[in-house]
Amino acid sequence: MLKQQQFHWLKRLATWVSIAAMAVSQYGCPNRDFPDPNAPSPATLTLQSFATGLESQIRAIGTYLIGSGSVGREMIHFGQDDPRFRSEYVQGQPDAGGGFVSGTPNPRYRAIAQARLLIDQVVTLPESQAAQAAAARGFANTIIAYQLLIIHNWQYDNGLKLVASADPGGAPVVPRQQALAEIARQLDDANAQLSQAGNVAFPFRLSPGFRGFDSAQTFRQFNRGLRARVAAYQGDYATCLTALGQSFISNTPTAANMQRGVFHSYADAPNDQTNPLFQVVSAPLPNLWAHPSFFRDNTDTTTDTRLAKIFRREARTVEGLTASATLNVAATNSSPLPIMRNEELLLLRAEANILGATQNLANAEADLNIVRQAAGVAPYPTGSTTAANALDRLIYERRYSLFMEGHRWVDMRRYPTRAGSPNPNNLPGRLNELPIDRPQDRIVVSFPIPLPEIP
Amino acid sequence: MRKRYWFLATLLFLSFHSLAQAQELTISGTVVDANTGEPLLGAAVRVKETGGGAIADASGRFRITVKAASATLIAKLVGYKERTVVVTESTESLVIRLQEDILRAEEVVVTGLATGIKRENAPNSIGTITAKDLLPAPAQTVDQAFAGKVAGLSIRQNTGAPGGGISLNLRGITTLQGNTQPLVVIDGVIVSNDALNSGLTSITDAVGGASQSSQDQPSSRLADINPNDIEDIQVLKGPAATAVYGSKAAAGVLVVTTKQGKPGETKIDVSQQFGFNSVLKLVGTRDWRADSSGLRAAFGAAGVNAFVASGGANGQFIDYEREFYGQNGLVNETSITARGGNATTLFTLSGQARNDQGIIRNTFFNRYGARLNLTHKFSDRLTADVGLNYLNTSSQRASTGNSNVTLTSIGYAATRLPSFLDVRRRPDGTFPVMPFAPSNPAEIIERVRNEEFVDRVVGSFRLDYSVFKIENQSLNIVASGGADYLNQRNNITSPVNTQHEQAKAPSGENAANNVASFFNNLWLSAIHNVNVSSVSITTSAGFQVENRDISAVLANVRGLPADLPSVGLGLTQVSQQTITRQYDQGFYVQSDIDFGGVGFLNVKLRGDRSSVNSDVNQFYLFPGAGASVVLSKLDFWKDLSATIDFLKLRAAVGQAGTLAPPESKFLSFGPANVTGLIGAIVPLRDGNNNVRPERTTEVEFGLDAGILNGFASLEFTYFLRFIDDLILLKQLPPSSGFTSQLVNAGAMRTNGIEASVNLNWLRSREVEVSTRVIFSRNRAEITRLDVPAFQRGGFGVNLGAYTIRQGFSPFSIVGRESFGPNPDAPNPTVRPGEFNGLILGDEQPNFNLGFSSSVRAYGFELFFLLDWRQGNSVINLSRFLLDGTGISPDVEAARERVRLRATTTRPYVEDGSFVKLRELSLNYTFNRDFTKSVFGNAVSYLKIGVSGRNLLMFTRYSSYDPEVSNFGSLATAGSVEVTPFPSSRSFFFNIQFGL
Repeated sequence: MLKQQQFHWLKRLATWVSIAAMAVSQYGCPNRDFPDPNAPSPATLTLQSFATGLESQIRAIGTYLIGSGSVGREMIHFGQDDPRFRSEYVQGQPDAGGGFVSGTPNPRYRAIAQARLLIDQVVTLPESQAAQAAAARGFANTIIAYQLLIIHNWQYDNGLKLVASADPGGAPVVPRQQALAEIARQLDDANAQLSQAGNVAFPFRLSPGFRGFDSAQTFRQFNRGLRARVAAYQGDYATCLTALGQSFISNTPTAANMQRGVFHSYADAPNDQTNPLFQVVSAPLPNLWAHPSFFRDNTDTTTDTRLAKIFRREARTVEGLTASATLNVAATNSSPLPIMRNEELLLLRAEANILGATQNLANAEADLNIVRQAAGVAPYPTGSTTAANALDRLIYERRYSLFMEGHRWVDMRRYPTRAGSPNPNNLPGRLNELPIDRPQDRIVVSFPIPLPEIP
Repeated sequence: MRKRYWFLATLLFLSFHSLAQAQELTISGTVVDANTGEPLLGAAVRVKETGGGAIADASGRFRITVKAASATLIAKLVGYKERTVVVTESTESLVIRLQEDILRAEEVVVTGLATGIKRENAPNSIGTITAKDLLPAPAQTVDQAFAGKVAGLSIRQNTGAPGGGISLNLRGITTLQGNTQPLVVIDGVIVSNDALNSGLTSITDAVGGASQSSQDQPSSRLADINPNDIEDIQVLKGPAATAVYGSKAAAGVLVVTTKQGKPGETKIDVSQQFGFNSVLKLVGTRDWRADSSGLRAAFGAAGVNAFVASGGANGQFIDYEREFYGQNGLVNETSITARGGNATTLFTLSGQARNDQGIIRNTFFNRYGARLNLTHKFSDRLTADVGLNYLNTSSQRASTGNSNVTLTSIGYAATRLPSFLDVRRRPDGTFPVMPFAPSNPAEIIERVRNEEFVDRVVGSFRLDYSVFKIENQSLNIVASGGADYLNQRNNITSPVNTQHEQAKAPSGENAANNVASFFNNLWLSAIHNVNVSSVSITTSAGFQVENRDISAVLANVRGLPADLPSVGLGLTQVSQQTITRQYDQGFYVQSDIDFGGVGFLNVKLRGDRSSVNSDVNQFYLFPGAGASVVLSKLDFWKDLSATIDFLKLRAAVGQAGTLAPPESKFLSFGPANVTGLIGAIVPLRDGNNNVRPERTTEVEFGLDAGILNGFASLEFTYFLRFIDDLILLKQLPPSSGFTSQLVNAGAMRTNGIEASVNLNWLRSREVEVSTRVIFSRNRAEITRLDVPAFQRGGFGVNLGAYTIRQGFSPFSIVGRESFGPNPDAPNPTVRPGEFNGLILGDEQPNFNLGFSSSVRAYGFELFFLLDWRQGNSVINLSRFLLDGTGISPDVEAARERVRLRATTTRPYVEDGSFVKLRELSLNYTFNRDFTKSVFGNAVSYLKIGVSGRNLLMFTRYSSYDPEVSNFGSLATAGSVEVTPFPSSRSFFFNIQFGL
């Protein structure tokens, strides 16, 4: 009897358990494996979002432009809220633990992480879009190389990490020559991918900053332009000329033609970014002022249209630093900032013809004169460019043509030191020629590797 | 079909049962209090052999019929010791006398999700707060009333603003980044005790931009609960007791039971309180008339001119603290509880209305609540309980605390306000311009609104089905659970034409915050009990689902056309939403073995999986075990039992978890649009695909003793905790593309002792005198840190911060002098910027001590509770701010502190020790004959009295209250004061009667 009863209890228990299971499922066992409800996760994003996110990240270059501009004595930051704009960049005491140093490499590495995710996403493209996939890879790899190049410019002899690792000691710090070679290789790989893609549009849209460079074929011209810049940094002028030949270099001596190129886009819209160099030039005390030498050293102040990049006004002095013109490189907070322009390509060709193994000063002079003519400055008389003055002429044009585009400091560091020029601090290149405005100031040669990168 | 089988089986069983015993015996008797002889309404009398029984009526009478020649009756009533009597046909005029259970030895404490054990056998130290202990004096919020009542449970009132904001703590620290608050379970429903941020920082700019921040000075949502509804609270202090609650229980569990119906005539209890709130302590302010030195340095030429204009040394002195915090806020509270029922249905119906005015003008806290608890016995097998609770609270909390930019905080702006300057409202309603700050605190009080409205419904149910019950076995299935829905709305308004808004462009700012929070949970348990001779084995098993969905939407507008609360207007608008989802499932098995009341052993295992873990399908297992032995019930104790009548040794061990913050595992892309293209950017914080719950292992040992037949009882506990897999924010090398990640990367060890002593000096029918002392002490140390040592909390090292580093307590406060070479430091010669080992203070107190005493004599009852906290440090930045403008009352000392600022933080790390008279009450219950002669039978009792809460505070702390946190309920690093809403004391006159 008892046995049978127990059997019934078991049966009832089984019934209860199944009812309970039903109740629980009714009551709600929602899916526990849900994506972040507050932010998109990689799985929910389109290729477009990754590409636009990448474009958004690479334009966060305020720290690089202001930092290199201040160190290269193109500008002075008069911001009252933080004296480190002067102490770190002008006085030359960079703090490896602070944002004035890490503000350049960190956003670049973030962009690289984003570009790698974009590459990972490319596999979602169907087989039929193999060309577009190759184009997307070429785009992302070009951007990665470009980002590494900026870090190289910033950290220079201190070297840089080329690969990502969550462990501070996990990735080696690569010496700069080796890093440049790797950057060149990556650009060439990207070039191969873009060539392989042929003449296809990217599988995503780019902002107006890339207008004219928004297909694999046209973007490749930008890739070659960057390769020419890297080759010049390497002193490999044969490669430089080859790359320039495949770039978007163009000889028409007009201002508009100088502006042809690839730009960062900005907009005053939700979740967008505004131009980091924009300011109201006539405000009582804007932050960004031009170094007084920029106007002082110009030899054609009445005609040189490149002087419109500054706004001359009353002199101001902050912490013993005086300036009498504010930066005027962005007309509005939505104005673009250049990544690479035709004007630079022409000057790179001139450089290759001056510093290359086979010097061709006539060709160099012709390119310098295209740039001068576009800027409203009288061309150099034919044949007046000599081995003695060629480099000075190049540096002069680069200074005014590429003002506040992140070149001056890099250029002065890489061009050979003028023979006989006093260099008490034994600075590399021509950094000894940069003006020192206060006794306590020194020129930063390179920025240290940020502390969090060091094990 | 199935139903019939069931019915048949039952019938068969019953008939066999009845065949064996054909005789019938009718038992009637009374149950009375053994000491006073008063009849005990509601006492349950059960027949051991059959399980049948009855409930004693108002005159203590009961009547039972059994089909047997004799029966063993077990009489029980909460608060009394159980008593067993054998009744035969020859028994006449049966009177069962129950002894009051002074030691609460027979009170049932929870051991699991569905099981309990008599306190005298419990293997853990479990604190209980009964309704009587909870509210000797009315409390604005229920958590206020927890102080000093259970060893190991401490509270910190983060802000004095009406509507609460209290941080609860059980046995010190269990986590650094995770949830610090105990799980609160009310009648089987896991309820929200979140501090839902209000968005106040939108206008105070304590944190930049539109944000919900812990600097919002949030209230915590226990504030909604009506304290009068609570029957008792069982406090499970740590993993040794809470293992069966799993991955959310490392911080302890509060198991709250609300008042259930009582059989018999419906009784209505009415309580009416009238009282007022007034400020507990003022800091004092400098009188510039006597000494105006430093005036120019602090306030410039404008300050000197204002001083001269005010009459200088013969001018006015305005005590702004009294102006701002001097209101005597009126309080009234009406509570009604009706309880009744019969043998099958019991009910409780209660309501409360409370209106509290704060000590700052225009501030208040109102609460209206209604509750219905219903129990119905469908049959001998099936009992159902349901509870339904609606709550509505509203408050105006004023803008206080930290502030930046416009200083839209009363206290913060007041640190720039010297006593000679009149910024009070003019007769025409306008306000003078405050020249020394962007804001006028008098104007903030009158015009800035910080309102909070909460509507909340908590519903609970419990079904208890007895599957079978035979001679020595029973099986029950219990389903319980419910839901807690709350909606919190905050309207924060900073009108366009106030002084501080002129400093903004565009001016006028409103924030509207709307939080909808839905929690639900369900427990299903099967409980099997078997008795083999005197050993009782209860095995339970079951599973649990728990879901949480919280959505917080904050809209913040600037540039308003007029003074309106709406966020629909305005020039610029920022809105954000934070959604929190958490879906957890768990199972448990537990076995409790009771060796005839002499020994007790339990083992338990909980498995939990959660949506917040990286592996959502992984069940994390949390085992536990406990044992106790009542030595005094063993034979060898007989000789000793005259002095030590009860002695139990107990030990328990268990594990419980703390879940990681829900965002830990996610790689949360940020918005990154470019000229009309929609983009997303990889975040700075990397997601972690291996986030696990933190795991706390706790071991506790203790003894409970009763001495001299109830004269004294003693409880002593030592615990030790090992917390592993601590969640920490790890810094990553930015070259990885990320700068941080939440990782399981540390371990901590804590330990503590708890003791409580009850002394019953005198117990007679007319006079009772008793004293209770509770003591606790906790220590903590970081034993492993897989990330570099770091500082947290506060406003940077120079203003005092907390250091988290191996070998140190996570409560260690460091300052400027703790880094770099310092001859006074433990390591005097370190490199600049390196930690030198100098600790300026410790947030964790050396001990907490609660001392309470009650005297009942001839109808009078006097009760008081002192709460003593010793040796805790507080970073006092109110003083820092007051010193900066020379407004501190101790002018010379303040000047010295300012002088030392460049080298030391120590003057602002203060001793926060205090003794507070938390509760004081004196009541008189009118003699029954008197009430009867006046009111007849209409009124069953009448009690009047006076009471107070936080009436006195003794402390050397220089500011308002050392119980303070600018950052809400943090595990560590909360004790930072920045011009808070000052604490208040309350005083009440009360009248209570029964109908």
